[in-house]
Amino acid sequence: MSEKRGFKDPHEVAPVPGTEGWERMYPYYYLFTTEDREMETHEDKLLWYYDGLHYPEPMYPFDLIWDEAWYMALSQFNSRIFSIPASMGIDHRIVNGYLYIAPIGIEDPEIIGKRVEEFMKRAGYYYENWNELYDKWKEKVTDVIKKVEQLDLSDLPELEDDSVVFASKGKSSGFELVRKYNELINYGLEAWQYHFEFLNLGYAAYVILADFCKKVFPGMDDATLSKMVGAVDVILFKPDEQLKNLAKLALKLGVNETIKQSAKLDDALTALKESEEGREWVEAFENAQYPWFYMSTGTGWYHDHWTWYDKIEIPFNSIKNYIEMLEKGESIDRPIEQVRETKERLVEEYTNLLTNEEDKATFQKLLGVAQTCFPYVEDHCFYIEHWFHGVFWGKIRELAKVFVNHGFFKDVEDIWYLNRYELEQALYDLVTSWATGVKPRGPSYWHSEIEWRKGVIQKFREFAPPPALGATPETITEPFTIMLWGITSNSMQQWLEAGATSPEEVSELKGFPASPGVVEGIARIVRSPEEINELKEGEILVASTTSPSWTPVFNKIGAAITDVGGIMSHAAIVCREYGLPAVVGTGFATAAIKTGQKIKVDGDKGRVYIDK
Amino acid sequence: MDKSKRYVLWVEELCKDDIYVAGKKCCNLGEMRQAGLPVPPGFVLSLEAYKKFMTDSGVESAILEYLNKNMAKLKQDVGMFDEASAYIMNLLESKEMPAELKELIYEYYENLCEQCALPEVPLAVRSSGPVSMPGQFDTFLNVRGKDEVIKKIIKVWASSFNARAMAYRLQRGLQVESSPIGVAAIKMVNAKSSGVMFTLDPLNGDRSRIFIEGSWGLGESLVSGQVTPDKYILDKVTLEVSKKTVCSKEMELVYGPEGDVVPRKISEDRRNAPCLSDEELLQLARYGKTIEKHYGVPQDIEWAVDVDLPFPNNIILLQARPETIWSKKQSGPAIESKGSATEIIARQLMQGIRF
Repeated sequence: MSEKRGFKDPHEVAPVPGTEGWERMYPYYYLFTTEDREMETHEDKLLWYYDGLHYPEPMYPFDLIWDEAWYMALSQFNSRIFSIPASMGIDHRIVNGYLYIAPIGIEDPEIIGKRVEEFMKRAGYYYENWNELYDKWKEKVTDVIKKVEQLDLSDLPELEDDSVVFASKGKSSGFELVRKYNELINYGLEAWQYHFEFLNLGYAAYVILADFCKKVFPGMDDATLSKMVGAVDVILFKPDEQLKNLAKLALKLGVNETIKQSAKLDDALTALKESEEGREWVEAFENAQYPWFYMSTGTGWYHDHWTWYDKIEIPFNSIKNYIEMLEKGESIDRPIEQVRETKERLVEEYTNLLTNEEDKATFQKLLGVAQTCFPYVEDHCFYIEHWFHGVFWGKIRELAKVFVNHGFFKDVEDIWYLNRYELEQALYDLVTSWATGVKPRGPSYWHSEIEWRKGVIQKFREFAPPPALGATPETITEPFTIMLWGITSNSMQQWLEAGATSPEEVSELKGFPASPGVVEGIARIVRSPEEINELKEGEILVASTTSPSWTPVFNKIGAAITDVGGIMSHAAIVCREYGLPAVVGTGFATAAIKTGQKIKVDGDKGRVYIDK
Repeated sequence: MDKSKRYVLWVEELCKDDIYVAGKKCCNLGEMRQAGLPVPPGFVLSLEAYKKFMTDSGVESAILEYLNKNMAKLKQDVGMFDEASAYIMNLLESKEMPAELKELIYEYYENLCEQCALPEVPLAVRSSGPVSMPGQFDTFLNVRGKDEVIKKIIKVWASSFNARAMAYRLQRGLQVESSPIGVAAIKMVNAKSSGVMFTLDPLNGDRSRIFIEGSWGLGESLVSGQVTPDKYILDKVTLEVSKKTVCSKEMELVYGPEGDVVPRKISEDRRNAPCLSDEELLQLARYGKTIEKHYGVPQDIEWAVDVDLPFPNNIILLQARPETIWSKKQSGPAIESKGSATEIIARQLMQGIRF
C-alpha cells in the first residue's frame, strides 16, 4: 500500500508490550486477517476509522456484545433489508483492544440501479408510515425490555423443587439457566435489531437534506440545519425534567431545606418521612423513577456506565442543584417555546431564500421527511442504550452472582472479562458441575485468566489508538459514517496532517462547528462519567465523547469539546439545546488540551485555540 | 408642485420610480430613506435643474455650435474628444448658476445646516444619472459653504462631458450636447470605518449569507483597492457570524485640515483591530436584510460608521443597488425535484454524497 497515500497498514500495528495473546479475548472474526492473502489485501484497501464515539475505552470482552449486535444490525438494514443503493454494511475489527470500523460501498452502477428500485418500495413504506410504525416500534422494544426484566437468573437449588416432579416439568433449573442466558443474549441482539429498524433511513433522510442544503446554501452551517430538523420535545430530556419537577415540588411543599441539608439521599428520605409534605415528596420521587432513572451516567455502551438507579446520588445532587437555582430565582426550564419559534422562523426564512419553485419543493419534501424521522433519531438512545442496557447490565450482574457463589469469579465485576461465547461455556461448566456434583473447572481456569485480562485491558489504556488505519478513499458515501462519526474527506485530511505533529505541540484544533458561539475559559478534561462532578461553573468540558445523561452539567459549563462525533452526536444536540458553543470531532482534544489550560472555543467556525 | 418639474428636492421626497426626476442614485437614497434606513440627509438637483442651467446659461447652444463645427473631426479622430471635452467643461464651469436655482440651493443648504446643527455642513456632491453611462463622473467630498456647493454642482454637471462619456453618446447616436443627470448633495459622513455589503455571498452566490467588507476611514480606499479589507460573513437568517477575517490595514483616508481627503498611516495597534464592533456588524447586517426585503432582490450596499454619532445611529448607508452578477444567473434547480421525498433520496443515494 506504500504507493497510495493513507494511514498505517492495519496489519502492521505493533501490540502493546505485555499484552501479547490479547486476541483470544475476542471472537476470531474481529481480528485482522493473517491466514488469507486475498482478504488481507481487501482489508488494506479500506478506510478503518477508530470508533471512539462509542468506544472511548478499550473493549471489555463481554461489552463487545453491543458491537456484535450492531455489526449485524446496521449492516443488514443497509444491505439486505432496505437496499440502500450505494452502500452495504460496516465492517468491524479490533486492534489492541480498540474498535475500528470500515464502511463498505457499492460501485457497480448496474447493481446500484437494481437496488434503487427495491429501496423506493421498501424505504418508501417506512417514510410514508413512519409515525405509525414508530408507535409499533415502541411496543416491540418495551415488550423486549419487559421480557428481560422478568428473567429470573437466581442461583440453582441444592435439590429441585418437587413441582419439577409432580407437575412433570421434565427439565431442570440448570437447563433453564442456560436457556435464560441464551434468551437474555438474544433479547439483547433483538433490541439492537430494532435499534436500526429506523435509524439508517432517518440518517439517510438527514444526510440527503444536508447535501441539498450544501448545494443551495454553500455557507449554511450544520448547526442551523439541525435546528430546523430537530424535534422540540425530546425523550432524552425527560429524565432531567423529572428532576426539575421534583425540585419544583420540593419548593412547593416547602421541603427544599430538608433536601438540601441532607448529604445523602437516604438521610433526606428518612428526614422527609417525618412530615406529611415530606412523604408526599418521597412518593413523587419514587413515582418519577421508572423508567427514567435507567438514564445512564455514560452513553450506556459500557457495563460501568451506571444508571441513575445504580448511582442514585447523581440525580439526587441534580435535584439539590435545581432547588438552589430555583431559590435564586433562575429558570430551570428548557426554552421550549423559543426553540419552537426559532425552528419555525428558520424554516420559513430559508425557504424564502430559495429562488426557484423546484428547489422550494425539494427543500420542503426533504425537510418534511427529515423532521418526521428526527424524533426517532434523537429518542431511540433512551429506549435502547439507556433503558434496555440498564436492565440488561443488571441481569448480567444477577448471573455474575451465581458465578461468584460457585467460585468462578472473585467478584461480580469479573464477569465482563469473558466474552459472551465464553460465558455460555462457563455457564455450561457451572451447570454440569452442579448436575454431577463434581468440582467445576471454571475457578481454576478463569481466576488466572481474568487477572491476566485485567492487566491487558489496563495496558490497552496506555495505547493511543490512531484515528484511522488503511487507505483513504476519495469520497465517503455511507450516511452513518458522515453523520454520526463526522468522517468526511476533510476530517481525514486533517487527521493526516495532525499525524505529523505530536498532540502536545498543537495550539489550534479543528472540528465540526456543532453549536454556535464563542467562549473563552478554563478547560477540564473529563475521561469518565465519575469525573463529571469535578466540573466547575463556567469551565469548558473536554471529553472523548459525552452523553445526554450528563445533562445537569450542561447547566454549569461554558462550552463543550469532543474528540469524536458529528453534528448529531450527543454533545452537539445538548449544546444546541442549551445555547452553548460546541466543537465536536476534533480528533484529539483530550490529548492536546490539559485541565486548567485557558482555551477559546469557536463554535461558529469549529475551532479550538489553546493558550499554551 | 409636480415632482418632475421641480429643480431641487429633499432626498426623502424621491422613490424608486423617480429615476427620470433625479437619477438612480438619488432615487435609491430616497427609497432607502422611505424604507426607514439610515441614509445621510441631503438634497438633490433634478434633471430639470440641469436642463435649466444648460439653456439659461446658453451653454447648450454654444456646445451645439462647437460640435457642428467639429463633428467631422470628432468622428475621425478619437483623440479630438479630449480637446472637445476640455473646451466644453471649461465652458460650463465659467457660467453662473441661474438666479432661481441659486436661491433654491441656498435655501436647501441653509435648511440642511440647521438640521445638522452645523454652520457649514460638509457635503458630498455626486452625480446621479438616470441610465448607466461609462466614464466616471466627478464626485466632490467635504464641500463646505453655499457658494462652494454651487461651484461643485456645476463641476459635476460639467463632468458629464468627459471624453469617454461624449464618445459613447456619439457612437450610440445619443444627444451629445446634453445629457441630463441629477446631483446628490448629501451630508458627509465622518467615517470611522466604511465598506461594502452584499446580501449574498459574492464568491458563490449563496443567498443565505451576508457578506461585508470594511476598512478604517473613508470608503474610497476600499473602492480603489489600496487596502485589504476585513471580511465578515453572516447567516442572513440567524445573523450569526460564520466567518470573520480581520486583515492588516496599513492606511486609511481621512479629512485633512483643509477639508480635503488625505491618506494616513494606521497606527500599529489599530491596524489589526476589526473595523466593526460586534454590535455594529450585527446592526449593519440587519439593515442589509431590511434593504433586500424592501427591494426583493439581493443588494450591493455602501456603508459607513460615523465617528460623531453614537451607536446605533452611527451606522449610515450611502448607497444600495441590486447585485448584478449572481442575481442575473438564472440557476436551474440544484437537484431534480420530481417525485416523492423517497424518490429524491433514492436518486441522491445512488450518486453518493461528496462531502
